[in-house]
Amino acid sequence: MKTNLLNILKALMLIAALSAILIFMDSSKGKKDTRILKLALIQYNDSPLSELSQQGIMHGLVETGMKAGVDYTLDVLNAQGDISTLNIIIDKVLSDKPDLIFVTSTPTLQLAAQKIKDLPVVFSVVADPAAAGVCNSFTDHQDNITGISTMGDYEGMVRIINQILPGTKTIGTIFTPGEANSVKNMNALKKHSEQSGIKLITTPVNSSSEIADAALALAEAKPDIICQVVDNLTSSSISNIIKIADDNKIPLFGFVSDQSEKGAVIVVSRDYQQAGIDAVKLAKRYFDGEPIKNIPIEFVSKTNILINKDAAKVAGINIPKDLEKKWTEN
Amino acid sequence: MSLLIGALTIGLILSLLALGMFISFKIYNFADITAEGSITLGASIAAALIVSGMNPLSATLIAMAGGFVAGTLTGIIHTKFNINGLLAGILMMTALYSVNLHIMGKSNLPLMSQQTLISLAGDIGFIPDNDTAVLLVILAFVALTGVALHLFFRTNLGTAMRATGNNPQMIRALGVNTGLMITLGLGMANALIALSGAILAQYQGFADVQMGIGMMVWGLASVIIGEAIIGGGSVGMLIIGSIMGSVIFRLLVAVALRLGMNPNDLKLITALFVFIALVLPYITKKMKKRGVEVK
Repeated sequence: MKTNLLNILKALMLIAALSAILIFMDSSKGKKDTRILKLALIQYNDSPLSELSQQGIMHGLVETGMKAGVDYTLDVLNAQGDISTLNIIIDKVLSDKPDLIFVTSTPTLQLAAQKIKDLPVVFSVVADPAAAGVCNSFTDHQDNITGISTMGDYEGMVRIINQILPGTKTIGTIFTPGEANSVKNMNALKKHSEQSGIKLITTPVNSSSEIADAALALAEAKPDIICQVVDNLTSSSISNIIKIADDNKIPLFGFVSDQSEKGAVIVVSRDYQQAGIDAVKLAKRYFDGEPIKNIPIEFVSKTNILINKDAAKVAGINIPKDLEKKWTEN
Repeated sequence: MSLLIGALTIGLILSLLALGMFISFKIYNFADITAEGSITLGASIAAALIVSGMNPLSATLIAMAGGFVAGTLTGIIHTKFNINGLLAGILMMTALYSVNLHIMGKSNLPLMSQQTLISLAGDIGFIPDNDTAVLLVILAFVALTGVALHLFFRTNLGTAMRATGNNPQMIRALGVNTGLMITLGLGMANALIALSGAILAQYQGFADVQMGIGMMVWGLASVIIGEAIIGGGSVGMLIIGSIMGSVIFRLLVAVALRLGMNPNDLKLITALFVFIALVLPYITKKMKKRGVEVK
């Protein structure tokens, strides 16, 4: 019994010692050099999207004319996909009191919204901040949070359809009622297509086994183009949809870059590096004196347009050389 | 201070996970990977119910019940169909991914403006600072859970469960159904893990279908670190060890981050912590033995 108590005491002392280190190091960081801008970037996991966005942020910071290490420091932290570490990382950054915090991905943004109330936060690589619960609209958001939404460019897609297939009357998509983002994307596409007089035909699916039937049903309705919105279910079964579209001689347009090599004629995808650069632009506006509260959330300013020439040839679509040149140059 | 309070709070929330892992790993010697699914299950059930308007306490209790069902199913797969424990856990974890997606209806469910157990705890009047109030409430809650668990393992049923892990032949000879004991134990373990997930979701303000990844290792690490420091003399000590192990583990991660370690090395460093905790008791024992021989 005595050794038991002794061991518990030992553990308590270890906890106290570790706590003391944390408290001591906290207060020793109190002296702040006001000439150097302290920035932090918090990421949830290592993915091509977050890496591209990180490059964009670093690039954007250089473009502002500031020098790394002289005018600003950027502390990059990555939770490596671990949610409990993400919690501690956010607490760590909070106690560092940086001048501004960049975050990427939805869970990081949500945790930041929950824990950070009085430091400015700029996010990117978040498709739908409203669905994440951090804003009501792009102008009505939590007072200390703004950022860049990487939601699909539906307006741009409809513009491109009008450019290369001007006579288009109907487009079709499969969507997943069970996924909130799918319904949202479908409605966004509907809104923009109807504005230019194009009708959107939709077919719902609930599981991956229904995809083939849904694609056949959609092909029966003979839309001029299948313009597949983004969701988890259809993006993992996209090859299936593309094959059925091909069999029925209907061209397929998509929003995810890897769909291009899988046979989508045109893919309109967001540029994640640009998302980072745009995030820095929002941060710059804050440093120039605009309160975060007044800076609306924005979409990524640049969209990548990918053309699969073989697929275009099969579908009999002629992409005007000048447009092709313009898209690929960007 | 916020890093200290945050690390302690997360450590205590995840100590419920550690208690669950203690039951499956220390009592049944069963590395139950169901944990990675059931912690998310707890989070998604609690989040979905709270969003639908249920009061957070009932939502948390139902989340716990969900974890119990998941653990029981792993137990049944293991004992009735004679499937290897690790494999049974993997099967259940895989199935739970889809289940969790269905419960939430999407991959991520925010709880930004809803009333949760955490927001209620933060509003306790006599403690001025919200974060400190949350920490103290969770501390009290975890302590109560630990005491309850200790008392349970001293009842007849609890003793039979422990005996099933120690010496199944003996306890079978006494007429106890070992399969039932294992199934019940795994149910309890996963109920605690789901409870941990439900509280974690309310603390961080969302449930995400990916949040369980890596959790089993953290739970095991806490149990092992606790045992290394406190010693595994009795169930009570193992319970205290699991809780303290979880807190110490989180503090170590926080200190490592505070010291400015490259975040890409984080997983390497945590693996190192666990390795040290595993070999330390062995080395000290060996050294003591040698000391005796010299005398």
